[in-house]
Amino acid sequence: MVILGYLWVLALPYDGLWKGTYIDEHSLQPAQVTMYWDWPNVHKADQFLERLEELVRSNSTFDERSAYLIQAFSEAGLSAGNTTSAVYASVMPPRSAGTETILISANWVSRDGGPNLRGVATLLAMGDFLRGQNHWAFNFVLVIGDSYLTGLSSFLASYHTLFPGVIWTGLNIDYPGHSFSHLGVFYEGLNGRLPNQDVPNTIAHVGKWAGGVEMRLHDVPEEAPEWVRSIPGREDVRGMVERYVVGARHLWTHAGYMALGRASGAHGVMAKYRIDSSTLYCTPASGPHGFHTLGRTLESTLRSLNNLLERLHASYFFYLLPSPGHFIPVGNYLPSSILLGASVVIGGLACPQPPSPAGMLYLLLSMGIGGLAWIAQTPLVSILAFLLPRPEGRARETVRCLAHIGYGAMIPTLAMLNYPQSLLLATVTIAYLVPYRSVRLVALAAHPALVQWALPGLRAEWEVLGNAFWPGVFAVWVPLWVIAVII
Amino acid sequence: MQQLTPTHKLAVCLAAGVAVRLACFAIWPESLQRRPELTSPLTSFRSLQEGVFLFGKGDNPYTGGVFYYSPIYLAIFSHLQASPLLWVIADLMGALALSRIDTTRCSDDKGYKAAALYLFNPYILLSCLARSTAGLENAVLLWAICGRTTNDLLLSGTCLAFVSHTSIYPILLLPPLLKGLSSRQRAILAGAFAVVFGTIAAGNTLVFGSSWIRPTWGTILTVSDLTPNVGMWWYFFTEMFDHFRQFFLGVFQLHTAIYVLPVCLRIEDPLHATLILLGVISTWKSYPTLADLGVWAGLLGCFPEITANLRHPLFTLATYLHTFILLPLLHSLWLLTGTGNANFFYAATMVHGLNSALAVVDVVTAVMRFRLKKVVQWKDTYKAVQITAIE
Repeated sequence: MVILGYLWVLALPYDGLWKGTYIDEHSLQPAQVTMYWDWPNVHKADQFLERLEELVRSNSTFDERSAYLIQAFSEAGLSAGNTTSAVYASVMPPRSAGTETILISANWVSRDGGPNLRGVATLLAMGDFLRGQNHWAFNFVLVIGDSYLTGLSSFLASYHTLFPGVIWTGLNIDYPGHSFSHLGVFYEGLNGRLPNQDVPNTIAHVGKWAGGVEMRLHDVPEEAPEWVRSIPGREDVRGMVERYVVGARHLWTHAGYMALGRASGAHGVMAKYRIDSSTLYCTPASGPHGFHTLGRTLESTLRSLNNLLERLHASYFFYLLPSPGHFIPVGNYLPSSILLGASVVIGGLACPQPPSPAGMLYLLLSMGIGGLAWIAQTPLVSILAFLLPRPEGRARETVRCLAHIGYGAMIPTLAMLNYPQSLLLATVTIAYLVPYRSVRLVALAAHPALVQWALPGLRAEWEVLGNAFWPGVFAVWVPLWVIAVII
Repeated sequence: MQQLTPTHKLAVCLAAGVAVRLACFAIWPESLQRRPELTSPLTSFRSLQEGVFLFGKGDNPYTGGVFYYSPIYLAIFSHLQASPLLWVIADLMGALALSRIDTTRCSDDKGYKAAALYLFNPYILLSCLARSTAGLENAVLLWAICGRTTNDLLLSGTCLAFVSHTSIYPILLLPPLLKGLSSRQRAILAGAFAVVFGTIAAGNTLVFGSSWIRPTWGTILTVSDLTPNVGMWWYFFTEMFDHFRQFFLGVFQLHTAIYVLPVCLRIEDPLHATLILLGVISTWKSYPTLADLGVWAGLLGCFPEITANLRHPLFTLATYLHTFILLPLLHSLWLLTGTGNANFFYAATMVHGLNSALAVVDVVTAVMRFRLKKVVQWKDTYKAVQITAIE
């Protein structure tokens, strides 16, 4: 069953399992509007950009930057203010009821690490543009958070007090380079929460038809890499392999974010507040697109989001996107996780009855070591497992079987929330609970401390943003490691 | 370590159960009181508090339309402080009842295993922390069964009458409890039941007129409150047209009641029959909570001959583990994050209910197998073939 489960996972990039995307919420009507963003607005954005470049060159402080930004917003006629790490401006169009708001953000630091200059410039120009129109039904709040995520996240913690209206959807702009060739949509939120599928679908649709720009998911190119394209053979077979490889790359990138519970862009911090949002990332290039394309895409997307009469609920919240125009529905990917979970549970059904109390004690002990490791904030504490006396006979069987049943129950239930994370849990569980001790000891080399070494920011993410992967390592992974050592 | 005598083990067990509960009450927040898996509109502590407050002010809480408790609770909690200690004591009493049942039936270990199984069952523990009144009712129900086991029929009848007043379904346990008794004993049990039942009803009517019947028994029978819970009724009746409501109400209630006669006729041992019917009630009553399953599991613990004959206990337990995780998860996915809808939660509820049904069937099978094994002389395996034909 394990093999079946993994085969299913490997089959996911095959486009037989995919379905074409469609916009579920009928009111969105993407790419149907005339766009008014034009070259005068691009000129405005360029002017803002000059001033912003000066600010960055002179190593300005947050106060200097926020002073300029507030001034820029106020000159456009918007009411602006700042919190301790973010600047925000409220656009209140004359016909809006003021009960719902759309959030647009552009943070100072881009996901590449450099300053998100053109993103902020676009936002400033967009604020100026929105002020001059009277057909919007939503309010807007434009946020410029200080660093990559944390400014926006601290703004959101208090957004209820700063202006009226509830935020239903959000967009984040990330435009680090001079021009861009593709527009990438990043949609993973913190703790694996995805926005309603209508948001990335709308952006992809609008970008393609209204913006005229090639859309991507994340930063993954739609063409297969060179080595795949040069495989000799029949044209159609090679085409299938190429599509498979591209789909696999998309899914792998997606899983890389989701399995660790990380947000793939600044929009990720909005997910906690039930704000469906994505990030638009402009792939730096010397390519053909710039402020004009981005502005028009943004405007058309905002017009679609403006049409909403109720929260996005029609489309799916649980999906995999292997390509901008396709998705994999839950029913096509969840059974693989259920197979893996069921196989682990079945492995534990030969439990001695009644279970031995010594065995239960060992389980409690492993959880205790997990707790100790949490207090010490390092998974290396689990090495203590080697000092424990190994259980024998019925106690050992009890520990083994109860571990199987417990972790096997966790895998499909986690898959309901965060599928790639459940695959990670399944792989770790299956590797650690292999029946042969020698193989197990090799698998145990994949210690949870490796996670701490490879990704040192995870602990900070837990403390600042609330990414539950870090405590999850101590609550789930470390006890499993201990159990795998002692049985 | 010196071997503890069974009495000591029982005492340690009970003390540990009390200690765990007290510790949890000290540290756990009150959010458990809102959980639909642990409380239903009929057992919610918050609802009880509100009703008692209104009653204390001199109003009739039943005119509000959302108070479903029997006047017994109003009478008790007007004079008694509703402290967590009461629920700890109730669980303790339930565990004592179970240990007495176990001791009386077969074992010589003072029933500490049955008590431990009850006290440390997560369903019962969490229901206690949620201060669901199902915990109080469970204790009284277990003493009713215990009274029958020890031939203390007055106790049995009285307790059963109390529990039948608060939640109607235990009336269905009267037939199996009456089985196997001489007609004089039956008269005592039934008489005690009727007298106490009638007295309480009379007392209620004295204080409240007839305004208490519709909210208490009426809600259980007509399912007028459709707050989501672990049962399968609420979803059905949410989407049902009024035209068919009566019909389906009849069908659902009949489904629970229809097992009484066959089980009582077919199963000889009255306690086995009670066990099976308690399982039927816990699974198919109109407002179940996890505490109902917990009390059934606790009672099952007193029948080691049944648990030895179960065909798939681990599968059932593993599925309960899955639903234990999924039910709160899908409920919060529906109402907290908004990324799911009621169907998710109801699917988990259905898996839970189906699993309970499977468990009931398993218990029935185990009872039959045990009977068969008793009848068959296993020394003489060749005669078994002929005897099975007579069965």
